Amino acid sequence: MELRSYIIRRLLLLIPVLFGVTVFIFGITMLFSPIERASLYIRSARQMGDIPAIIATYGLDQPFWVQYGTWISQVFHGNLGWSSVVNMPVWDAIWNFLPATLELAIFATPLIILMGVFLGTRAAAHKDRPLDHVTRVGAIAGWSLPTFWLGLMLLMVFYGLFRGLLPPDRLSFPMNLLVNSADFVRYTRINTIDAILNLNGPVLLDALRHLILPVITLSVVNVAFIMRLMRSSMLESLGKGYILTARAKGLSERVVVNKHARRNALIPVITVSGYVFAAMANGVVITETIFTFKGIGWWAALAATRLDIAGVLGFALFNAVLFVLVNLVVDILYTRVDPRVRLGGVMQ
Amino acid sequence: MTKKLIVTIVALIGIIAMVLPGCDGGEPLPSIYIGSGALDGNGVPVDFFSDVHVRKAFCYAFDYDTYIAEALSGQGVQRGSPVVEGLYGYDSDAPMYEYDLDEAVAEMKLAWDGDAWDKGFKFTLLYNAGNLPRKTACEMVSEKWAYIGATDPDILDGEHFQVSVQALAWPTILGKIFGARDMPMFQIGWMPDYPHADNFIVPFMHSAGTFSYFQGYGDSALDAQIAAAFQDTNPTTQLVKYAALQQRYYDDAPGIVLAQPLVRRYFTQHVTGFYYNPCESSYPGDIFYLTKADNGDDIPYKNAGSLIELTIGDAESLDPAWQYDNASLEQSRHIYETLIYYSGNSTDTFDPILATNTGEFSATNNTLRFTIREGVTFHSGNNMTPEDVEYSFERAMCQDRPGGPIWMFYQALIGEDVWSYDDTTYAAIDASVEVDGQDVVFTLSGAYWELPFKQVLCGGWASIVEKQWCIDKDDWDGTEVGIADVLHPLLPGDTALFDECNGTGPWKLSLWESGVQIVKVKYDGYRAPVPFDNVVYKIVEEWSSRKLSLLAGDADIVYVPGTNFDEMDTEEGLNIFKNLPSLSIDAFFFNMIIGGPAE
Amino acid sequence: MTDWKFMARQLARNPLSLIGIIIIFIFVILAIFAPLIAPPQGYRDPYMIPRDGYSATPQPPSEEHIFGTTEGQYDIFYGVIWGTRSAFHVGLVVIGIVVVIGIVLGSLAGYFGGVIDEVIMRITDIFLAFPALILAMAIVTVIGPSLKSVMIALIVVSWPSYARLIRGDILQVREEDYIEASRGLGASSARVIIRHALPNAIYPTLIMASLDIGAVVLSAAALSFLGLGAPEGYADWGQLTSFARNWIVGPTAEPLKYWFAVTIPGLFILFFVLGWNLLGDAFRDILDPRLARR
Repeated sequence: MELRSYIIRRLLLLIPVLFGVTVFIFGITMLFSPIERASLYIRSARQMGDIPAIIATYGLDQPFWVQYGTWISQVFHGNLGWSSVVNMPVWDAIWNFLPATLELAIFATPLIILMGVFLGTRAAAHKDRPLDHVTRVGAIAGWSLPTFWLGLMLLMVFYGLFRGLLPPDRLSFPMNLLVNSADFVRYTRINTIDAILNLNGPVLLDALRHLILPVITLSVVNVAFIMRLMRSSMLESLGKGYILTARAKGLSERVVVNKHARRNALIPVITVSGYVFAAMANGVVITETIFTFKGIGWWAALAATRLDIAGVLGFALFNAVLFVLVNLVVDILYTRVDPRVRLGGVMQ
Repeated sequence: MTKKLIVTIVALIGIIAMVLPGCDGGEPLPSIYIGSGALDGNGVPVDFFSDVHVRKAFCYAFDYDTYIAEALSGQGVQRGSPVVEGLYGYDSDAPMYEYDLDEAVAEMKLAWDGDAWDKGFKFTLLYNAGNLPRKTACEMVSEKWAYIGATDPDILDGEHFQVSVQALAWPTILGKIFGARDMPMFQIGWMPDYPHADNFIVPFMHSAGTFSYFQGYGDSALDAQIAAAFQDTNPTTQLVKYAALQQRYYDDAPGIVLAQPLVRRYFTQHVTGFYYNPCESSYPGDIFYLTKADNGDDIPYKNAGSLIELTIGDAESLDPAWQYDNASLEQSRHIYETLIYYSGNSTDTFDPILATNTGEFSATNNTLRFTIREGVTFHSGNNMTPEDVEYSFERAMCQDRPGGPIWMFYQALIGEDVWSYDDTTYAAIDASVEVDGQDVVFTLSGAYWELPFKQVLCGGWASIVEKQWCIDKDDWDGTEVGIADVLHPLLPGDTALFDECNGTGPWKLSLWESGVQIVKVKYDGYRAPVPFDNVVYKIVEEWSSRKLSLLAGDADIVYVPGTNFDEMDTEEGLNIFKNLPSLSIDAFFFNMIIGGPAE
Repeated sequence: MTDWKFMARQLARNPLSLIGIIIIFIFVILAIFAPLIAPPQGYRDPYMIPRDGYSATPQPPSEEHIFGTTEGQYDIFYGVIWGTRSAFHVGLVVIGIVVVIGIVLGSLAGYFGGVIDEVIMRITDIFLAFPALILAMAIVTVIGPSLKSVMIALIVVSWPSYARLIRGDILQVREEDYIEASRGLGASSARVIIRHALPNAIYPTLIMASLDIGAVVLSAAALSFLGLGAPEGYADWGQLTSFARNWIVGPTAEPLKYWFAVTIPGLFILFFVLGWNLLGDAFRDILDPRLARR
C-alpha cells in the first residue's frame, strides 16, 4: 500500500516537471521573432516571398500563451507535432530512433557498471598502493577526455589508419539491404537482437563490429565516475564495524571484501546508476553524431541545431518522463537494498 | 578562519574573471550595426549606401581573384551581374569591377561630398555562423579598408575605416534581412528556378524582388524595363535588352557580385559517362553509366549492381508538386520523368522525353502543343495517357503548397498577376491545360513564355504522375469540389504522394527511411536499359565518413565540401570532373535603407 | 573543520594532487603570459586568431606556425595559448556564478524549508529532468552562437546541482546544537546561515566546483565543436577542434597527415580538465570527513 501511494505521488510530480520543461523551452523559442521562426520552414532563398503566408498559417505572431495553448491541446490529442529535420511526426521519430540508442545503452551500461565496480573494488582493496594510483589516474584521465575528441581519434585510427576496420554507421551496405529486405524481420529494430531472433550470424557480427567504437567512446568517460564512487563507498564500508568483526573472526580477506563490503558498497552504485543514465543521455548526443549512429541523441542534436522546435519539445517531454521514471525506480531499488531507508525518507 | 577562506576564494574568482580582459568576442551587439548612426567617424547613417560612390568604392576594393583562389579553392568565376553564364540572356561582354584600390579611394573621396573619406566610417558585417567562405568575404572587406586607412599618407590610421565582422545563426540572419532589415550589408545566394535571365534579374533588381525590395533598390522605370525585356518575343532585341540590364547593374552597383561557383564531381572509377547540366549543379544530375573495360566487359566493383551516393541532406517530400528543395528534386529525377528535358549541357534546347516533340508553338492563342509518347508505362503497370499529363499539371495547381514551386505554372499559364490558386479560378486552371487526342495543349499567358515555360517543364515539379493511381491514393479527385481537400497543404506529410511514388522513371521507390536513406530499385518495364539494379542515397553528415567510404569503394559518389577539393585531387582511383559551371550566384547586397523605411 | 595547513600537507603528500596542481599552474602561467607568448596583431580583438591567408587546407607545423594552421589558415599555436584564457574565463565565470546562485537558493531552501523549499526543489527537478547538453544547445542556438551564450547556457544547466548540494548540507547542519544555541541567543536567521551553516557546507561545494570547472570547459568545448559556441576563428579549444572535423582522415597515402589539427587542441582540453579533476579528486580524498585522517 505504502509503495503504491508512493509511486502515484511521485508520478503526479511528473506533471509540474513536464509543464515547467516545456514552458521553458517554448519560452526560449519566443526569443525569436516571428519572421525568424517562419524562416525555419524554408529551405532556400527562392521561398522567402512566402514568409507572411507561413506566419499566418502557423500563427507565429500570436502571443506566447496562445501558441503554447495550441501546442498543449495538440499534445492532448496525441499530436506531438512534425519534426522537420527528419520529416516525420515527432511521436514516430522518437520510436523510430530509440532502438539505435537502446542498442548502445544495452552494451555500454553493463560495461560501465561492471568495469567501474571491478576497478573500484580493486582500487579500494589496494588503497594507496601502486595499483590504486594507476587505476585512479587512468579513470580520471578517461573522465577528462572530451567525448567528441576521443571519438574522432578512434575514427582516425580504426577507420582511417586501418582502412575501414571499424566503420561508423550501424551496418555496412550489403547488410543494410539485407536487413531491409523481405528475408529479414525487424522485430525490435535493434540490430543485434533482431539478428539473433532471425538466427542470422553475418548481420550479428556486422552489427557488433559497428558497435565497438561508439560503445568504447561512450563508456570510457563514465567508467571513471563509477569507479571513483565504488572506491570511496568500498573504503567506507571496509572501515565499518562489521568488517572488523568479520576479520576478527578470521574470515579471509577475499571473503570480507567480496561478501560483506561489496554488497553494502553497492548501495550508492544503484543511486549512481541513475546518474549513469543521465550521463549517457548526454554522451549519446556527441557519440551518435560522430559515428553517424542514428539514434535519439543524433535526432535531438539535429533538432536543436536546426531549431526544429517540435522536435526539441517532443524530445524534452520524452526525456523528462524517462528521467522521472528512472529516478523512481532507483529510489525504490534503494529501499530494497538498504533496509535503513524508508520510502519518502531523506533522499538526495 | 573559514570566513577568510570564503572571502579569499570569492575575491580570487572575481579578480581572475576580471583580469582576463574583455573576453567577450562575439558578444551580441545591439540591433543597430551602424555604430553612432552618423557620418562622424564612429558609425554610418542609415542611408550610407544610397550614395552610388560608396557602393562603387566597395566594389573596387574587393579582391575577387584572391577570394576565388583561396576561399573557393579556385572553383569560381567572377561575374559582373547576377546574370551568370549558362542563363539564357547572359551577356559575355557585360562589364565587371576589377580589384583596384586607387579607384576605390577615388570613389570614396567623391562620396557624401567627401565626408565619407574625411570622417571615416564604422559598421559591422554579419555572416551566418558555420559558413567559412562568407566569413572570409566579410574579413576581406574589413581588412582592405583597414589597409587603405593605414597606408594612405593623409590618414595613416588603420581604424579610420572600421568594419567589424560578426557571426549569427542562419535563421537570425534571415530574420534580419527580411524583417528587421538592420544589417548594413548582407550576403545571400540565389539558384535558378528556370535558367532564364529574368529569374535572376527580378530578385536582384525589381523593386518588389526577393532581395532588392529589402535593399531599398529599384523603381518603377526599372521595373518596366525588366518586364519589357522578359516580354520581348524577338530573341535578337531581347538579348540586347538583357545586355542593357546587365550594364545597368554594373552602373548602379547595388551589390558586390562575388562569384559564379564552379563545381566538381567525385566518382569512383567505375562510374562515368554522366551527363551534367548546369541547372542541376546542386546535385549530380542524371543517369550514370558504368565504365567498361577495353574488351567491353563490365569492370567488377564492390556492391556490384548498385549505385551508392552519400549526401548530406534528406528529401523533404517525394511528391513532385511539393518539391522545391534540391534534396527532394534529386529523387524525382530517377523516379519520375518530365515531358522534355535539357539537351546535354544546354539550357535553352531540349530533348523529348515523355513527349515526342519539344513543343509546337502557335501564336494564335499562345498555345504550346506536345504529342505524348505511346507505350510508356508507370511503375504500377498501367499505360501513360495524355489524361495523366493533364492531371499532373492541374493537380499541382490545385495543391499549390505555400512556399512551393507552383507559382511558375500560374505565372506561365494563367496570368501576370496570378501567383497562386487564391488569385484565380478552377475554370482558368482547367482551360490552361487540355487534352486533344494524343496531344496535350498548354495555353500560355504570353507568347514570351515559350522558352521559359519549356525550361519550367524540365523541373521535377513538372513530373508526370498517374491520374487513377493518385485518385485511389486519396489525392485530388479531378473535380472542382475535391480541391478543398488538397489545397494548401501545410506539412509534407499532408499530401498523398509524400512517401509513395508511382512514376515512369527507370527506378522505383523501394524504401525511404527518413533521415537515413532512400533506396530505389530497377523498374523492369522501363523502355531503355537501366544501368543499375539499386540506387541508394544515404545521408551521412560527417565528411570523413563519406570520404573513407568513397575511397574504400563503399560509395560511388559522395558530396565533397569545397574546403576539401584540393585534398581530394591527390587521391587515386577516382574520376574527378572539375570546373563544371553552376547556375548560382553569391553576392553582397548593400542595404540602402538600414532599418527599413520610416513607418 | 579542517586545518588549512593540514590540508596543504595532505595535498603535497598525494602525488596525484601534486600533478594536478602543477598542471593547473602551468596553464595559469600560459594564460597570464599569453600576450607575451603569442603576441596579438594590430587593433583587432586579441581573441580572434590571426589568419595567414584564406585557403582551406591545414598546413603542418612549420617555423612560422609552430603547431601548424587549421582550415582557413588560423594559427593553432596562437589559438591554443589564447584559448587557455578563454577556458579559464568560461570555467571560472560559470562556476563562480553557479556557486553564488546555488548558495543563495540552496540556503533559502535548506534553512527555511516548507513552501520555499518545495518550490525551489521542483524548479531544480525541472532543470535536472533534461539532458544538459541538449538544453544548452537549444539555448545557444536561440541566443546566437557566441562564448557569452555558451556561458549563459552552462550556468542555466549547472546551478540546480549546487542548489541541491548546499541545501542538503544546510539541512544536515541545521540540526546541530550550536545552531540552536545561536538562535537561542537571538541571532537572526541570515546571520546564523552565513556565520555558521555555510562555512561547513563550503567544503563539499569546493570539491564539486573544482571538478566541475573541468566539466564546464568540456561542455563548452563540445558546444563549440558542434558549431554552437565561439565563432570561427575565435581562440577557443573546442572551436579549434571543430575546424579539424573535415580533416580527421588525410589522403590515402598519409591518413594521419592532419593529425596536428585534431590532436593538439584536444590535448590542451584533456590536460586542462585532467588537472582540475586530479585536484578535485584530491580535495575529495582530503575533505570527505568519512575518509579523514587515513
